[in-house]
Amino acid sequence: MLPILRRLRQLPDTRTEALHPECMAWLTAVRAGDGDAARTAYAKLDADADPGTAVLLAGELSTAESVAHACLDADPADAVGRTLLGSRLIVRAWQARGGAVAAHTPQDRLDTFRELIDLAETELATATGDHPDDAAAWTLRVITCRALRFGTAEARRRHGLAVARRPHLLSAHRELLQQLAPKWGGSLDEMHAFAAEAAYAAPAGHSAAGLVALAYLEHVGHTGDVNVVRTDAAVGVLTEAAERLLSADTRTSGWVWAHSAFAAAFGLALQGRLARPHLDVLEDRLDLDAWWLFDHPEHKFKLLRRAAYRA
Amino acid sequence: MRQTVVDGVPVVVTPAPGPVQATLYFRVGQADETAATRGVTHLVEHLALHGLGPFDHRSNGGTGQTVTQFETTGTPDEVATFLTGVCRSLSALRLGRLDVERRVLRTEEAAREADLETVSARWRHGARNYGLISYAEFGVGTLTADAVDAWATSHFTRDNAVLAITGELPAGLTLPLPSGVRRPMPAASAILPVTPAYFPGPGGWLGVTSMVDRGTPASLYARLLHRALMRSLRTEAGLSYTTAARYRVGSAGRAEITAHADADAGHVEEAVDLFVRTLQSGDWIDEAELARAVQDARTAMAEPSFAAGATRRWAQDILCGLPPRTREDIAAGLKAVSLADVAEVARACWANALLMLPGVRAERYGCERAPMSSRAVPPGRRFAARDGGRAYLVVGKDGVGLADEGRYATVRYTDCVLLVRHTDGGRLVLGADGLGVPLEPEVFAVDAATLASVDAAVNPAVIVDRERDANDIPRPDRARRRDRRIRAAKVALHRFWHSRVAFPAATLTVMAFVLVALCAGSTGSGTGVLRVLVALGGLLAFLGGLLVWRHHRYAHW
Repeated sequence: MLPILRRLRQLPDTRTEALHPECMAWLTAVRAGDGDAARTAYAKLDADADPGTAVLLAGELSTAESVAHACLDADPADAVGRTLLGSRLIVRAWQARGGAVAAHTPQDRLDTFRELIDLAETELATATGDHPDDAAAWTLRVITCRALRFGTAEARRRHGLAVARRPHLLSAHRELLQQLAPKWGGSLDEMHAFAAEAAYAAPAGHSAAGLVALAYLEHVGHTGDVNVVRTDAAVGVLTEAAERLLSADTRTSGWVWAHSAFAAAFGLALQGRLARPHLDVLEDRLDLDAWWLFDHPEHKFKLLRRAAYRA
Repeated sequence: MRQTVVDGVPVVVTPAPGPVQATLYFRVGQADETAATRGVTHLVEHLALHGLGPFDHRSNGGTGQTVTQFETTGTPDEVATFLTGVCRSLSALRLGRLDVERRVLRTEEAAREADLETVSARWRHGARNYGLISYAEFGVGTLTADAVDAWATSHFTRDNAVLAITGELPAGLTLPLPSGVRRPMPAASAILPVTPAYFPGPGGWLGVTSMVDRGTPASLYARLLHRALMRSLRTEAGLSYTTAARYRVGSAGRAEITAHADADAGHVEEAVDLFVRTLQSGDWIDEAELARAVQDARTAMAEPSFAAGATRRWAQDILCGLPPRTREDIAAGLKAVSLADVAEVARACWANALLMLPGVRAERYGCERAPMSSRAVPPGRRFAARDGGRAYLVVGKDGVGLADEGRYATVRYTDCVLLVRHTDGGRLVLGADGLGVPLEPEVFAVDAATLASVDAAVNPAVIVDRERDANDIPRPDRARRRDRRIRAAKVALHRFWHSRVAFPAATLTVMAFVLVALCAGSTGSGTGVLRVLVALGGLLAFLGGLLVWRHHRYAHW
């Protein structure tokens, strides 16, 4: 649908252009299928841009594979090409699998998923072997670690290698938090503890604060009980973390996601007033990745906005 | 222990009562060969011993990685006769017997069981030097008499030999060997990008090999590990019958620690978990265990066989350019060792470990899988698989490659260490990293002229001709080919149904509705039921379109 129609319907802007403008030069180059341009654009990514997010977004493009092969033909040890190939394989694996839980996924889809993830793991292992300090490759290896069920200890090791090079790397944090969620073999305590630790280790105003909200969203998703975010304790924890995010007027990579996550959490907690500062920052943007709990997230966002400003 | 020289050969003598034990060592072994000459040292060893039999436990020969030995036990006269016989035999090999020994070696090879070291070596070193023990003795069948003789002349010399004697040095011993040079130890190639690493091994067995600094702490760690594995896997968990760990002196001041265990098929994962955790953390090493291991080592030193072993070790150290250690050195080492020293060895052992695991992945322990494929195939002409699959061969001007489902094997001509040319036309091209490309005209649509161009591109010294049993020639998988065709036909039918039948039919139906609606509207003759039906159909078409569009737009993974 045309953006103008979305504006008329008061739906938020969920396009990558609005969410990750810093990645657009790179994504445009990958979409154009130009290996050399992609490599140049990747090298020119802002120091602040999240390389894990950049590579994962590029993996969603159907041209990613040919770009990766073009890079690797030029140099078999190319870090960007190898990581992009791994990213594309991960995306293809999940496309083949579908979003349902394993018990509701046909066996042949699971087999294809595993094969593709295994290929991705091999490619990414080669990438980290060649470039042990490539944070993006290590971030993607947290995903393959989860998909291949290597356990939380190994996921933490890989996450540690990613953040050793790029401290407070949000994409790596988000992937590890997924691993620590009960659905992937972690526990609620472990997940909340990690979220708080990562959020408060990062400087004030850093998007990593959103991990606290994400942990509560995962918690709700796991228990199916929305009351877990409505307790005073939960609202207190969320408010404190939200204040940390709002306390500095810096917009680090993934800020749309972080504010979207807090908006979702406060929305669920029926705290329209607390959601308002995040909606102010978001204006009409929304990261759907933070709103996966909702059916029709864009409409729910519209409703939340109405309720928040009425409150 | 004293050292003397006989006919230019250094001799290490440890006086001892009883029969004389003598071992003559040469600084040459499998690691000095190439993939194409693999087995030449073994062949020389066999030819040298011919005519000196009968071979029983008293006299024998052995080819190791870096050292070849001839050993005997007996009276001083018997020992002198054997050693002089071996030396004469080495100086003038009985090459007339070459074909018989070729056959004997092939039989010996067929009967040999692969052990952990043999299986692991290629994963760590590739198809060169210390990795060569993983490969068949390709040279045995094809090496010419001249080549075998040249190998003997250049390596089995008095300057490349040391003799170890426990007992009395036989009077009048002569060692008539030609002069030559002392051969340096082969450098170890390394192909593992990261350690700890693992590779898939045969079912029922798990093992580890690791390189650590040579010395008392390392040998004690092997003893401790041996007991720890026995305790955890066998005594406590009851998952294994055989568990073992051992320490072996390697090259250049390094020692190899190996350990293995068997595992019941139903409990492989638990066994791997215990095995790896024992290696990973040294927290089971305590003072009491260490004291016990030290005591065991002291007991072993007091045994009569220790002197012979120490003499042999001393001789090999001299030969390999390593600093030999006296009995006093070993005793002092045992006295000085601390818990921290052994813990350090445990850490180093894990950091360098290469695990062999039966169908279990070890990434969960922070291990990487040893590389099983190349990064890409070289540019060149592609040859499709005859079974209709996606695999293809590439023959280019720099090398050959095989691609199959995203995995590649590539051998550059400059890195090619072996080209096995089968009489039926098939070929195996092996690279220094141990990856091979099978050029099989039965499986891939590759022509004879292209195969000949590969022969011409590699170093002629790496080509080995071999006969192959007709049953061993790989054939395209006919069943797989049939399955592929059936699947392709199904997909084509599916596409045909959607694009030529279902979609046009749906479009025509919608158009018909629209037409009827227009007619009904314009003539004003439509009944109420018809109008409702038309409106409903239009609505359904619109909603269906919307659904397809939304699905396309938000197909997030």
